[in-house]
Amino acid sequence: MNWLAWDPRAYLGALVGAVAAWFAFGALLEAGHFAPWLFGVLVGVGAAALTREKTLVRGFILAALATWTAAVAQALAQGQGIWHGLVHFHEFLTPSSFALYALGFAVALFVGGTSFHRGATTRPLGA
Amino acid sequence: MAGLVPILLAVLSVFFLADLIFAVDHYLVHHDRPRYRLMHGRHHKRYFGKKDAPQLDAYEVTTYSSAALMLTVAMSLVTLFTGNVGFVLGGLLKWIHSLTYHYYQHGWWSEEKKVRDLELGRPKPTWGLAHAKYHAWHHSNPDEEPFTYAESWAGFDRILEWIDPWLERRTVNARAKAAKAAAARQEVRNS
Ligand SMILES: [Zn+2]
Ligand SMILES: [Zn+2]
Repeated sequence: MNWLAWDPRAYLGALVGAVAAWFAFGALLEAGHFAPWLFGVLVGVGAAALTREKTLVRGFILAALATWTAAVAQALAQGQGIWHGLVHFHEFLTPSSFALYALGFAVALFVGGTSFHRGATTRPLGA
Repeated sequence: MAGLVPILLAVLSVFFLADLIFAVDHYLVHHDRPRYRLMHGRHHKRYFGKKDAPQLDAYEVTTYSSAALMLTVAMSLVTLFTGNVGFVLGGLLKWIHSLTYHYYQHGWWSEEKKVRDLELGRPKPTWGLAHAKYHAWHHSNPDEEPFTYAESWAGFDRILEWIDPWLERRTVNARAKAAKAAAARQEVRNS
């Protein structure tokens, strides 16, 4: 029995992706581009590059973590503190920013749930 | 921050949604032999015999908790995007509900008495809440009427009973059976 498809390689890859996204997000924001989807994309690619297992359970968890990390990065960038930024997060949401978040979530879900390695195995649900 | 009424409504809707998903998935597991053998069957097999493990064994705690954790994580995002704290609260309460519900019910089963020996009897096919006696029937008689897949609102079981003739044909077991029958017919034709 494995909790939530725990696989150290996948989560290590995701962590590396999240750190890269953190810096890229800040740099792009300075240049006037709001790109929260970067977190989902880099977290998903990082996980899929290192893991040898496919599981949508992991994809879902990574998608949620990537979305939360993006929200924290946005909250901090607003400069009024992390708590204030997160509590009022929904007030700053517009249809287009929501779409950018949804894009990141979807990429993390499907890419983060797969593996780029040939011969990767699929983990059955609940195992 | 949302007001009290929207928060309560959010908590209730999470319970409703979670139980809908759990009840349908529970029904599907019971109609999917490979998946049933892999995980859920263990839960039932253990209650046919004498009590041989803690009230909630490690497998049960991890299964209920990982399902509940997934729900809570999803609901935390809904809270983030709506500003209504009731969604994540509902996820956490559902988690506590799942664990205490099973922990309490499994306590009826002891080293001296197997679940069947308790002679709790067939529960009424109610539209009310799924109480512990209702769930006990599921442990010992999972494939008998009335359906007892739900964890909080028994109404989902009544709806499942109603759509069963339609849904059953679409389950893994029914498909496997149909494929086997088709293969047998082909064999007869070839010979
Ligand atoms: Zn149980
Ligand atoms: Zn069952």
